[in-house]
Amino acid sequence: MEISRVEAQSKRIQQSFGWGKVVWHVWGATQWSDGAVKAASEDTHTDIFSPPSPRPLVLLHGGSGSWTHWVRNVEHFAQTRQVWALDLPGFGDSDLPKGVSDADDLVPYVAEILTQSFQGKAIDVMGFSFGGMTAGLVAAQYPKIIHQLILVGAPGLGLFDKVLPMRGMTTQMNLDELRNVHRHNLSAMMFAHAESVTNETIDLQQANVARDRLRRRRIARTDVLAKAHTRWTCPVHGVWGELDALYKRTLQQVPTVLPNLATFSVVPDAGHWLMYERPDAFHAAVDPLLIA
Amino acid sequence: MLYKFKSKATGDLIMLEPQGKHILKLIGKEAGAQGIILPSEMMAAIDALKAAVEREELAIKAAKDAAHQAAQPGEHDEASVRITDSARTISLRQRVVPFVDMLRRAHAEDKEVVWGV
Repeated sequence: MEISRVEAQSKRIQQSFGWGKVVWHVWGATQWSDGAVKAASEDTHTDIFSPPSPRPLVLLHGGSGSWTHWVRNVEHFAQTRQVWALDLPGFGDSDLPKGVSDADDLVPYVAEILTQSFQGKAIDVMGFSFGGMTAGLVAAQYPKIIHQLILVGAPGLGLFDKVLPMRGMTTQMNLDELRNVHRHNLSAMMFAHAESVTNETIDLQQANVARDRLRRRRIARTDVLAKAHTRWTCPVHGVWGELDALYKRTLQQVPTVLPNLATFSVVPDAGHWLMYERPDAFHAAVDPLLIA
Repeated sequence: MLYKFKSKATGDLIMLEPQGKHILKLIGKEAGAQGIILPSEMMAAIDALKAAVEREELAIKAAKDAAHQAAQPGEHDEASVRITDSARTISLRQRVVPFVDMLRRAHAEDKEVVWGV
């Protein structure tokens, strides 16, 4: 299992906040002292760690996801950076704060998590899809938290032109039927090529969807991020898949509705979940941004 | 209008008209609706972009130094905050880095970069 192997190389850090716990997976921990990691895993209100330079890279996953959205990328980024992949509140192993139902509700909680985790120091953030929209809203409302932001296939731009042919699940379905629905939905929305959906991909998706507690979210289809971008003060880059099903006819409009983007790169032959479908091409597009 | 730079060696880079025109001007290319950068032109283009980035960074440093000198005693903290904030706007280095990478990779594979075609 790719996930087990990659996870085994990480430090799992659980932080406690007044509203619940959040879970990070961190790679590149050999660069720190053991003491810093131990302190970080005990409690967050008093034991903030001090990450050494270069700036840590924070990864925020997409909707119905967890850190495993980045399973094919964390090792690559950890060669040069400390990589902190968060389970956003309400997803994966992190708790859902009361009253939170969408990305805009999450903004103050994510800001609190980032501020406490990195002692108020600005960090680099890469956010995929729902996580990119959330990060973009954080950058607009808390301009000192993020030093540089990379949006990956982010929604909230008012550019979705049609509803994708997703299938629903019923309680009458057996395990094989449920897996087939996941296979269909992953193929319809997340990938350019049906063969990208392996059995392990379906395992990953099932494990993540089962822990999604923000199922009533809606603002991805609005232009909430396009409206927020004028308040960005940090450099924001866009990296999208050439064959993103959500941007089939509107991909080239992304830099038009986000004119404050520093750069906009397109990863060839990749769908929405580009960093999973074409990790090498994705890394080639992102690496120069991370060293700038 | 958008500038869509394409190469068989990389993914596409899309720029708004002002940014695309600026970069083409820096590398000495006419900013028309269509164009091509040949592999033989790429190293000079990279050097031109590097030089432009260095010029901008020197200008920013000079402006920072001038702001520090202009600040009265007791105002240094406020001046530092202003400078720190201004340093977080988008630099030319950040804008051109994927384009330079595109030129490097296209040059390594002996492929041209085109736009508008």
